[in-house]
Amino acid sequence: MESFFSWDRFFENIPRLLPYLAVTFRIVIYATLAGGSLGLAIAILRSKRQSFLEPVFRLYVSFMRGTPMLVQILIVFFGLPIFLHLLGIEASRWDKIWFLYVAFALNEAAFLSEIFRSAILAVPAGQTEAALSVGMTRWQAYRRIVLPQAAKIGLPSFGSNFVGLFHGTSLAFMIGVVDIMGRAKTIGVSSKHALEAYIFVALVFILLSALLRGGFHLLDRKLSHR
Amino acid sequence: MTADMQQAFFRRKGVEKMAKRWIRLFFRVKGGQRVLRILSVVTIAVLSMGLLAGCGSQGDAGAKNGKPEAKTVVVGTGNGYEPYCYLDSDGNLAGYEYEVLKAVNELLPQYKFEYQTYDFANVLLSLDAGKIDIGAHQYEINEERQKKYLFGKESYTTYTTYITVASDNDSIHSLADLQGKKVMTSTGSNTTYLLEKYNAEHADHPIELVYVDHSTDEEIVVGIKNHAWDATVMTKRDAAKRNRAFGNGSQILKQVGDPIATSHTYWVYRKDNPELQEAVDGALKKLKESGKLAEISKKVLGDDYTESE
Repeated sequence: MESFFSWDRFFENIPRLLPYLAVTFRIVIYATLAGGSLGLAIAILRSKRQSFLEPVFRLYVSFMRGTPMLVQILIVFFGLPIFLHLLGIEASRWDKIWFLYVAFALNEAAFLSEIFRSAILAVPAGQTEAALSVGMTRWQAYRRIVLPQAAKIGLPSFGSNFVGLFHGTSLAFMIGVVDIMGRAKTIGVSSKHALEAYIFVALVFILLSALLRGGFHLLDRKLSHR
Repeated sequence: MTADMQQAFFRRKGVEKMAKRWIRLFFRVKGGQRVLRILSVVTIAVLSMGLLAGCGSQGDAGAKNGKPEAKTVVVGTGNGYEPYCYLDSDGNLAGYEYEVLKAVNELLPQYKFEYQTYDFANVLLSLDAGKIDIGAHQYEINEERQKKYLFGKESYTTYTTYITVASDNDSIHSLADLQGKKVMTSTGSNTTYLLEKYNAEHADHPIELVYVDHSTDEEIVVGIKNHAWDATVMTKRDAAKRNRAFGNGSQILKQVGDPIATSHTYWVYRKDNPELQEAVDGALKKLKESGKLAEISKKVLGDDYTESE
């Protein structure tokens, strides 16, 4: 089916698609930073004595992990302005990408909080006890002894979650934010040929995830040989 | 150390004790100091995000200051329906909807149109949510839509749709022939509304609707050609466009039978916004009378589709 694929079009598309990778990166970075801090806070709160917020966290995490990302994006996109309106903030005309940041950050916070929590709980209790026995305060023991070890334990799952987030951002186009996937689609619409653009996007994602996985693998090896 | 400074600040103000007691009560944890720290970090993070967002919207406000008297009207359109609304090779919005609205805006200096693109199914939802003021995506009028939205009185394109099948298919000539067959359609379209209505009347032997959203021309042509779907519904000009693009001179798609719907397309507004609808209709009428609309249609769509096929 020659008319459905041509190398000329494939190479023609590359400069049109690559700039839109920045949108993908922006979503990934903001979601990881904001979601990571929120996730860490939730993980620390949940790994200690149970607070009365525990049921709230449990509901939040199970909702975020149990519903499709697409649904969450649409809920944030259409629901957040209504919620903020009640607080007196007019959000419906915000730039669309902000809703993506919020949606992906909230989703990441849930997934990362579970990763962090399991990593924190995986550090043997003896470590904390030993730290306390040499006169550290609870917070010092936490920061100096538990968290560094937990970071090492949590790194591989964090890495695979991060790679997954990259693919997840391709849903951005659903609300009209043009990322690399969205651009591929629109190229398909205006040129009538989408296949070349899709193949290029697939290659970009394969390459990125290979690089990321390699990077995390190296980091992991370096940390465990210390 | 910021933490020390923070502590000193709290000590000086004598509120740390109070905060810690409050947190102890609230979270039922001992000490409360680490929670205090976490909370302050989270608060700072949230505040700085809010600040960033604020900067973003301030930038927008600055851009608007160029024309302080013009009221911003956000137009919601699609980015996947060439030649009506799509992104050109530089990634900018282009197409018939955009060109006509631009001409309308030139006649209405009191408004400044801004454009947002959405997936087709999300345009009217965004109108509901107040994210946009005008929905522009070749909307035909139907009962269901009319209940919720305000339609313009002036149409700007005709929209007559036919059953479309693969050119080697000789068994389908009408809606009745489609019963039990797979018909590709997209959610939220007028075609879907009509086919679902048809199915409600023929519940014993309905048409099998296959909902495919945001499909490209390529997907539609390949799907029909490979008989993944037995038929779909489109206008004559869309079929001609797709045959031109993929047929290599031959016909892949064929249109059969009487029109499914003979209608026109209108822009869609919220019901509480009749001033905008009247203003735009007035401008559109002028464009029709001056022949400008037909001119745009010829330029973008290839022929004059503003009054009749």
